[in-house]
Amino acid sequence: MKKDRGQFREIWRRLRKNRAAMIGLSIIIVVVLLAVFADVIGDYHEVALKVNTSNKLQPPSLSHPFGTDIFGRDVLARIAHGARLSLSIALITTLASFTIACFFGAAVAYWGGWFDIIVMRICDLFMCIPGILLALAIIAALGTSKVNLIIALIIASLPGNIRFIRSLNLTIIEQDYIEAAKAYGASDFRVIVRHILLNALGPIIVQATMNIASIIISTASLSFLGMGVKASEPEWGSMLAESAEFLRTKPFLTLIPGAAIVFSALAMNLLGDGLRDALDPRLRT
Amino acid sequence: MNTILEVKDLSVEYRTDLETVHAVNGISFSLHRGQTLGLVGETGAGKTTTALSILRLLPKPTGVVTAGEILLEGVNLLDLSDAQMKALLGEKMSMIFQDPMSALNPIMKVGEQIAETLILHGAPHQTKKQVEQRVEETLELVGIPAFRKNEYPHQFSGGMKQRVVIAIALACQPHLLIADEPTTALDVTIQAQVLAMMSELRNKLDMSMIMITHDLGIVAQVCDDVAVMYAGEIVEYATTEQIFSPGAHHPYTTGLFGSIPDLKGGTKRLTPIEGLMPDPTELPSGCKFHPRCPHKMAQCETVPPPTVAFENHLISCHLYTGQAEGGLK
Repeated sequence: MKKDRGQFREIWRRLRKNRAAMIGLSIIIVVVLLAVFADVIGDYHEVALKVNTSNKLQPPSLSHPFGTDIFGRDVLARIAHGARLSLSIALITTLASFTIACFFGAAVAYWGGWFDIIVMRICDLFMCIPGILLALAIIAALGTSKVNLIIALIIASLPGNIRFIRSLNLTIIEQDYIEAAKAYGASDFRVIVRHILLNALGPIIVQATMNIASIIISTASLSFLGMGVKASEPEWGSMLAESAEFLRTKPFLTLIPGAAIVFSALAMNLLGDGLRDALDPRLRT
Repeated sequence: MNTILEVKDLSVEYRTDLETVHAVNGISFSLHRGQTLGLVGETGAGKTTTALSILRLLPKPTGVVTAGEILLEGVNLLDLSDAQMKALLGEKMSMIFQDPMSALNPIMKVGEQIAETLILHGAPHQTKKQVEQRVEETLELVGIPAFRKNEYPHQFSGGMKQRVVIAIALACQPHLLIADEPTTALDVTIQAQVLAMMSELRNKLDMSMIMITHDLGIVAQVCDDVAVMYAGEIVEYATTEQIFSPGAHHPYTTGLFGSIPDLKGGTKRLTPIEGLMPDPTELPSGCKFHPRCPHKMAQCETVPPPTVAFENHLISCHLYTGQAEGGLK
């Protein structure tokens, strides 16, 4: 697809007409910029981490646009570093989860039989447990760290993604062009990658965008419960947990990380919805 | 004339937990280089199953070849490994599917789809330029201007799509082309064009062709030999001329001809064959056509009919027992 710019331009043209998707995209760009320039806003160790109790619970001011928290750390800097953390965790998790899911989903859909039955029953088994609970259990077993959090989130999101890609591919496999590709001697691998997965790419991109949103929320929820990243790290969920006790006196301390979580997840969902419309060939004019 | 394809006593079943469908029951035919064989019959007669078993593309795990041999240029295809088979498909034999609308990958340019076959089977050190050139040649061969190689399937009309499908099948100049009702999805004028083109290309490239169809008009236009299939068996095998000439025919063939309008005769009503194809999970004993046959005799219900040969005209029917010049086969 990369050779054809016209196709991308066409999708972009349709996406641009969708106001909600554009709002989502703008919010995402702001969050990404925050993450990229987090060090400019405030040094990670000096501003976002270092405890400075003499400076605690400052109201918003010029030097601290969002004020400071109970340990005297600049909230804006923590939000920016939190964006970096949340986005990188969400991206890595989604990328890994979908890569594995594409592999398994396509393989079980293509070959079927016992392989399909075994993989899908294992997925069913994991899907019985609510995702967040499964992630909690995995982290409880492995210990809290960023890597363990990512592993837990991948495992928790994998069964649903495998199921999604499998069902997507099953409808594509029915098409004549798959039979035709086999009839001119394409290998199984080639049929799966070039003919099945590439045709499923549109819905996969949409689903992945939505998945990023849910991973952002899961990361925040786990950190809120103290099962995500280390407590001192600037994570939106743990910031929410720290500030919860000042909800009456300093509401902005909870509102700001809360808004960061809600708006970035909402933005991803809006963009995903817009992409779905832009990529759907039935709406092409 | 050398034989390119020989099918000997081929039987195919579709097996599920609930039932076994006897789709093809011991058919034999052979095809010479440069010739076209028409496989004619009603829906469900086993034509497509025959084609799919030649290509070894029967749906797994339900479709099973239970007996017989398929020899392509002397090699039994049923003995080949999957990898060997993949190397043959597209290079020595190709298939054209019924519906050109769904036989092309919607997200690949048509040029890329033709190139894919060439890359899979071409010489290992062919350059990109050589592939491109071959793609353009193949497109022009089927009457599509070469510059359209960069377009996507949705930019083509139905007839043009079928030309692209044919171009993909012909890219490696296969020796055998199996066409499964290639014109059913096209309108009549485009049908004629596509058929004329296929016949022309067959002669040009010295291919053999198996034309699966239920349209006797197509048979008359492109086929040299005809095999009439009924319930998974070949009931009559003859040259196209013999099929269309009066004389001894299987009652089913006669019935087929009674079902199409005749321009010359003053027929007021068509005389279709009464009844339906038998349930392939429970085929009748004896002659499989006996429940519908107007010439049914007592023995038809129990004894499978012999194949009677009038020179190279084969008919499987009790009516002609003992009449054959060549004797029973």
